[in-house]
Amino acid sequence: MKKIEAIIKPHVLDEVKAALQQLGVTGMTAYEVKGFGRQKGHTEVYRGSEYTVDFVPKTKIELVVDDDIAPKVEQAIIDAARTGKIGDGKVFTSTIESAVRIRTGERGPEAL
Amino acid sequence: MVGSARPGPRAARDLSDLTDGAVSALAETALAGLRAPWAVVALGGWGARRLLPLSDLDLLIVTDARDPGLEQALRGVLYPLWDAGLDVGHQVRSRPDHLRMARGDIDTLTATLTGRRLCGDADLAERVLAETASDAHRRRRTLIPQLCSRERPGSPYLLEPDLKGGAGGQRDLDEMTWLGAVLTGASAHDPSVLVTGGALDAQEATVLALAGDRITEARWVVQCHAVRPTSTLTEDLAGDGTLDLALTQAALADAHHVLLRARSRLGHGATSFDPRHVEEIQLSAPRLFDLLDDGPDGLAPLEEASWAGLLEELAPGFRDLLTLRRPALSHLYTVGDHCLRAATGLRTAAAERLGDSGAEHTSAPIGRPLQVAALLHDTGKVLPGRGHSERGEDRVRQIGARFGLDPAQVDEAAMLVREHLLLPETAFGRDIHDEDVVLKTAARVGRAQLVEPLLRLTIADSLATGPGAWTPWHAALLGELAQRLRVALDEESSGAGIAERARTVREEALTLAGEDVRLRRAIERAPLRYLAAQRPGDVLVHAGLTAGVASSGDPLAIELAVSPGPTDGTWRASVAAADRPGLFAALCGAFALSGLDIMAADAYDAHDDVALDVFVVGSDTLASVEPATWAAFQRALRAALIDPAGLETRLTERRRHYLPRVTVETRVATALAESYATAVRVVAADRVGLLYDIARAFADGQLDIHWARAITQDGVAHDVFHVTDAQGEPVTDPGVLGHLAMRIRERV
Repeated sequence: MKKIEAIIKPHVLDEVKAALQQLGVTGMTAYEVKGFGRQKGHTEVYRGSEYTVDFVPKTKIELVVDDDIAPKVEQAIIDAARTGKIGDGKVFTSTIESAVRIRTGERGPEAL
Repeated sequence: MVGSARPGPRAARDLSDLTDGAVSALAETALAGLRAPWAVVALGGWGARRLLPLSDLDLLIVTDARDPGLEQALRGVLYPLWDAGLDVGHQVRSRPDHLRMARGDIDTLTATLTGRRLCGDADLAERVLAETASDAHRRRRTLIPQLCSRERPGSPYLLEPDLKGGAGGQRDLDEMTWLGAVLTGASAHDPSVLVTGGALDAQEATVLALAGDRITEARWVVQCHAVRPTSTLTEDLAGDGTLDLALTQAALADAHHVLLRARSRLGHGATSFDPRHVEEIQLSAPRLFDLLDDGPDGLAPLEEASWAGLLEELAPGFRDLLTLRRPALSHLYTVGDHCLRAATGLRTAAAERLGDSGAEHTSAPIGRPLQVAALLHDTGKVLPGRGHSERGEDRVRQIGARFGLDPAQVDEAAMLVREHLLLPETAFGRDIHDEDVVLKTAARVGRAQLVEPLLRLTIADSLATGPGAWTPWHAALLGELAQRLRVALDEESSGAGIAERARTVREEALTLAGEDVRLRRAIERAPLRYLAAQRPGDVLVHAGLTAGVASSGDPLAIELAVSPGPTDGTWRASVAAADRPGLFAALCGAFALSGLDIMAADAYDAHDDVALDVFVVGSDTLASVEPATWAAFQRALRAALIDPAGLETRLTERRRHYLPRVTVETRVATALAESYATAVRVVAADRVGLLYDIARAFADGQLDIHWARAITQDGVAHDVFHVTDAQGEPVTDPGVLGHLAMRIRERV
């Protein structure tokens, strides 16, 4: 099983959701977060003075999927979230050791 | 019995009676051997014959003599109850001990005030209850204030209220029962006893009786559906339609407000409106605005006034809205209460910071149209489903004058209601870095003066929704959108006008395009700023050019359309080419090399990676402009795209032969505008390759030209460019802008 985390621009969330639903992925968690990459949030020096640029609002999504569809899910997120402008975000994929559905006790991929 | 009972007070009494029988049977058997008199008393809710499926049993065993066999006997009562899974609280005391306990502990007192003998010595039981009540009556001067200062968390208007301990819940009804017992000096089982004490009238007692029945019914349903004990009413615990949630909400409101009246009559707590005259007094508009101006302090009086029907003349139907439920993801309150909270929260909204925009609001007065809009903004939810903003707008137009608003103010309030979701939907769901998005939003706002009130309404609405609806995350996005809207709507930008004109031109151009899919696509994707500056026929021609480049697949593809210019001897040349850094400079250079003087230039943001630029040119010599001139231009442009350095060399050579006609000091001004781009204005003597040199200065500084307008009058060029940095952001660093100005002056 793979956990896919993505930091995306807030306004593309609906497109990403629709793209995932097309792949049959129906479970996802979304958070309102703030962060910075190269877009903002670094310390600049101008004429000897430092100034810090603030965080930028983003949306983070998390989902756990079966290994075999993880690459497709990753690509779907990328395609749906890309605007071509700086600040589009990143996608991270990691391995999940186990998963359990609390209500029924199902384990592994059946819990997804 | 629990599974088959119809939820409500009858079921609670039946369960209580069943439990009475079981406990009495146990007690009479287990305690039969005791020598001293004993009595078993049910306390609390059980004593009031209001037992619910998950209620605990509050038991008092009174005996004045400590029998050695008592402990063993008690096991015979308690163990079977525990083994049956019941939650049992028990106290074993002598009569004097219990009286002492009741004096020292308010919970023991209140539980006993609703007590009831189950079995055992009747006289002993009645003496305990009577003495406790009588003692409480003697201490009423300290007890009543203590009871009236009980904490009542939450609100009766929460969509997920606490039916037991929250405001409007069972404890409010219990408090009135206790107050009645303290006032009369006798045990009581419901609030109607307060009528005797003068703290309630008969009608209020009737209202309370109905409310109590509804709350008991709701608590029964919740307890039957919950896995573990809870008193919070949630949608999923409401039992698939078993419960009328609207009536339950109304019951909580009734209990809440009647309690406040009772407290007020007892001299503890104030109501804003004399209950004796509520049928005669309607809230006037000035009085309403006074309460709204009080901010959060005005909420309680306005809730009271709305519940009592005092807002009906100003806003008919508002009383029903107070308990109207429209659950949504983040909403905490009923529709009417949410509106009251938004209206009284405008001042708090004004103090909210919006991210790092620095837009701390001033103490500017809150206009009456905004207050009316906040009060009525969700009244359109009286009907379920989409469109509540438009329904709310209609409502404001119908009744706005009742609030003393003049026609212009009614219009403003109506617009605010209609668009109250515009800013959050745009900020959180659209790309606010896209100029078209901001221009379309600006068109809906219409005037710069409406940005501030719309923003305040948005914040107040969010704050009144719940804590999840207004966070620094929301504030940052909204603040950025508000800044861009202010710039778009200032007199110079006229963003609202741009969007309107663009829409009209687009519609006409699409009509001209007919069914041609390529042309229609190009027109639909054209930026608003471009459309607003064109005629529909020109848009159609340009669409053909951009579609031609896009479909050619050749990175050096150029499409050119030439038509007569605005004056004799001028030509309008529209050029489409694949967008790339330095394209605008290459175009300007190619015109110069072709003997064409640029009198005006409009550069537009690329779409689908195809840039479109429209020039007005004329011959810069006395030679006429022929078809061969355009062919030469296309060859020069192609060569410039392949070899930019070669273009520079050829222009330098040409410039030697053509000197400027006038002499004027070059001036460069930059505007640190916080919109999508930085405006750079250049005034300079017109000469061969001037626009090329300015455009090259931008390209050398890695700045992109998103829009340009170049006009030459009497030999002097007045050029304006909107530029961004490589990240697509406006350039605000004064150092970078200073270097840019220096580069332009050097090249010019």
